[in-house]
Amino acid sequence: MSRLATPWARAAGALYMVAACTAALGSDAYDVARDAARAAQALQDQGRWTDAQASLDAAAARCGSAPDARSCRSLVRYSQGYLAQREARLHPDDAPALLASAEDRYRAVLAEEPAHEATLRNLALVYVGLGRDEAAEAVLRQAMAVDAARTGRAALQLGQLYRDEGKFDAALATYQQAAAAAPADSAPPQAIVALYATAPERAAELRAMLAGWEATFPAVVDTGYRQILARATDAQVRERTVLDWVSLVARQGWVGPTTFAGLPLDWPPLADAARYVANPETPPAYGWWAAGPVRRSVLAQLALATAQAPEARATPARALRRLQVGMQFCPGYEAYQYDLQMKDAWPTRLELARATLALLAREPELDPKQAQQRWLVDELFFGKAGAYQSRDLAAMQRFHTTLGRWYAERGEWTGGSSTNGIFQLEHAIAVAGQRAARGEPWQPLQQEKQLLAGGYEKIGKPAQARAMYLDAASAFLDTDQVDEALDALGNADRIGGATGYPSDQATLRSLRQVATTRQALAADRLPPDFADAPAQRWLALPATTDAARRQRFKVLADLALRERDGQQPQAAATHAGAAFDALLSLKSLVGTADLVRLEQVLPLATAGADLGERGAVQVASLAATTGGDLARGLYVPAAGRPMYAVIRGDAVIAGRVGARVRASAALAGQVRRISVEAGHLDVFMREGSGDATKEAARTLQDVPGVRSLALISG
Amino acid sequence: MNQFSRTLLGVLAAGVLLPAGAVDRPAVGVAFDLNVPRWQGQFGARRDELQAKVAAQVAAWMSQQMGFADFDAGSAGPQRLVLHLDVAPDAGAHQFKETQLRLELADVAAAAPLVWRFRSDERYAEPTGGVDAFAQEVALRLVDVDKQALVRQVLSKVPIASEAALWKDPVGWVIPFRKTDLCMDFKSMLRIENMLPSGAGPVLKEFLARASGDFAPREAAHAPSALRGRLFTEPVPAQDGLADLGRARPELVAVRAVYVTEYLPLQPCSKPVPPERVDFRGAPR
Repeated sequence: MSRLATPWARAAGALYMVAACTAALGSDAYDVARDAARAAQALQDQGRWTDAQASLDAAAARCGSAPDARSCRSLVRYSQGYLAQREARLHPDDAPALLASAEDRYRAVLAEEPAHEATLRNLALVYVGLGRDEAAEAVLRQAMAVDAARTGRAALQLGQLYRDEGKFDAALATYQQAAAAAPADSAPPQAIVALYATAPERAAELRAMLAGWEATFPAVVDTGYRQILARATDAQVRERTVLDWVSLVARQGWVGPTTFAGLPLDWPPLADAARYVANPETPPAYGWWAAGPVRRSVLAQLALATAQAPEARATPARALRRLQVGMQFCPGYEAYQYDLQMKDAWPTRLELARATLALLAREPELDPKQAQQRWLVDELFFGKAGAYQSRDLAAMQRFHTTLGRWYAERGEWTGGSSTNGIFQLEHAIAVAGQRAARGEPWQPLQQEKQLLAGGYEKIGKPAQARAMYLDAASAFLDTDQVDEALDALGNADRIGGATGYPSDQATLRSLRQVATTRQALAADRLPPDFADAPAQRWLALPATTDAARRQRFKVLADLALRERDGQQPQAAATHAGAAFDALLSLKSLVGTADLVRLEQVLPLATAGADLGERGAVQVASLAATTGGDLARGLYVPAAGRPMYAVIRGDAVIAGRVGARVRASAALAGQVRRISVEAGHLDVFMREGSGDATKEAARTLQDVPGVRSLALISG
Repeated sequence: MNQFSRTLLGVLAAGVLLPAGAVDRPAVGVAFDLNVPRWQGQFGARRDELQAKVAAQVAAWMSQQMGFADFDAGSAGPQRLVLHLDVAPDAGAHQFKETQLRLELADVAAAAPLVWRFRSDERYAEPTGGVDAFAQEVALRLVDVDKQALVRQVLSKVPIASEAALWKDPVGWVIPFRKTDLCMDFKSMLRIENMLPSGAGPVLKEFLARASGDFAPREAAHAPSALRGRLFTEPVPAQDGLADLGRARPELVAVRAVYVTEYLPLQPCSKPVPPERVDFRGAPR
């Protein structure tokens, strides 16, 4: 079979190669082989090893003349190798012979499938079992080279081999390759941490790496810091690490009765911190922690964490006491602003004040005259400059939101330049916008917008109120709260009618159209051809705003899913493809409901595509992608950090190919199946589809991301 | 007692105690309990469906993270792990309530509940998005569980084995699993309950032990092949009763239960990829 490299294919225009392949794909023999593999495993589980072998031998005999003989043979041999490998684990005395048999089987698979990564990895384990480390290393290097799905598993396996051989640097380099291949996977960082356990003298290197993983893999970082604290030989590294670790566990809320278990409590910094956590309502005897504002600020983070511990939450007065103790020894705002050591410090004092304010607002009997709250609000204003100075947008938004809601609950919409609900909510929304502009997920903030619109109305600013109700309506549509969106639109309409501010009529109309369409769709009241109605033209038009694209994605996805459930596969695939197109053009998804839409629509949009082992959509807490993967911001109400939906590059290609195939009358019904692996696209055409094959070459040669294209007929 | 006879006694004890074949990991059932009235009302008749879905997701996540037990939403085993979604206890009558996740083993006293935040009070009124979306949201919050505490406070109450072989040179236990069976790396910590002989008859003694190697004694001929390659664990020094253990005749020591108290996952777990996870259809590459 020949393969076209895409640049060449582009230049060559309609040039193509049709592989003469006899494979009638999806035929029975492969499925029979798969069933046989499953049955053989069950027999082995029952201790019937000989029967298991016999059943696979019988399956192999059936592959011989089948149309999909090659894939059938490979699966049977692979299963034979796997079962022999398994049997060797159960019967160590017979292991050498069993592993030799497994090697033969895997080698036979590789003779026909030289780049089959799982076979290479299993074969490497066989070699490890036989004590042939050099052979294992060689096949793992091959497996790394063909890791099409970028799982990084082969690299991890090779790293472990090096680790077991005591080759620290080789293991580290290989684990780092695994981390680069699969940046959202916690396994490579975990392996790196375990590797450094063998070299406590290199703790400084580990600490530097851990800092970079805190946001993504906090549990792995926790393990790493604990390891350094327990075993590192360099006193300076331990002192720095204890600050890193305490700050991490406090921010994560991982402070409880077992937090210090397993750590060397004969070391004063840890002993003092543990003593304080055991008795957080008493100001700590500072000791080591008193030396400088950085240490005091980190220790104060523990105060915040203990105030949010379950036993404190059950007794608000106790939580308040813990917060007050924290405020006592936490450095003042001036330290955060002017002390160079504190330049990058987490804003502990601000967070303590914010938590105290929230607690007092929730528990009015703790502060009947609101004197403490007023004091804290002043304190927050005094210190908020720190968050601005460090450009910590997340902190800035938190404080504006806290203050905005606090003022709004008291109906304090005006007064001072910033001591009012309007100013604070406006800034909360604006800062959220800045965060989205720098690549974080879009936050709808529908409640804040609704609250602010009401505030504008109360202080007699109808134009702003109307505009903000429209923003709120759009945000409610983002969060699938259609009834609330219609209420907000009603408010906008009411204000416009009463005060003569009709400037946003077009926006109002289009939002209402979207809302009513979505309402009817949810209630299953839309006629089958509704999408063709003039009022729904917005579905087909190129959307100019991200908000409009999000709505288009939602409606088309819901439509596709309704058609799927209504047994209309063609229409479902068409609308799923359109939803997928809409998704490609937007920046963020809103809520896990959108994530579910994406996960359900993708198989419809890529129907008939083989995408290999790895899932098509993953959720990660970093936007970094590799090899054509696509990251979209994902707003999740419960998430404590930005989240991203990462769509695998091969799935994106499959979706684009599916859309082009569906759009081409010449290709309709002529493509049996496609397979995408690391950008290599195989298109399996029906037998005798000569013209369609030419058309496929012309249509698919320039699909973005495709590295090579093979057209296979038969 | 010379080294040979010590070894022989160890072998005798081991031969009696450990089975030759594979031992199953403990089965832990997983359940989810939606305990927030607002959301209970919203899900209504679909609450059971939601609870089942989340339980399945939690079981899958736990299986991925904690290789020393077999988590299954449908399991009816003696151990049942329950994830509760509650209103925070200090939410009071406030309109917007913080919600929290709480993980516990049913009917087992834990040192303290393992609790972490679900949604802040500011996001309490956000819609759930339906069964699938809400199940996803809960699943995404699992990443912020304190894994150290999850093992120490909760899962350390689940016995992973009710047998182990005492070895005398050096003193330690061979547990009935290989490290790849549990995906457990060396330096993981276990708690081992033993019935030790005493003047008053057998008495219960607990020891903490660290996984330190794959059992492969020098005098291989004297060790049953069933033990070879299993995890060998050595007691943490300076524990009460350790001297008694060192003096005890192995055949008179009965291991009652083995628990994991500190889990270091083995990465990669290095198990062969099973046939059901491979696909040979498509063009050869």
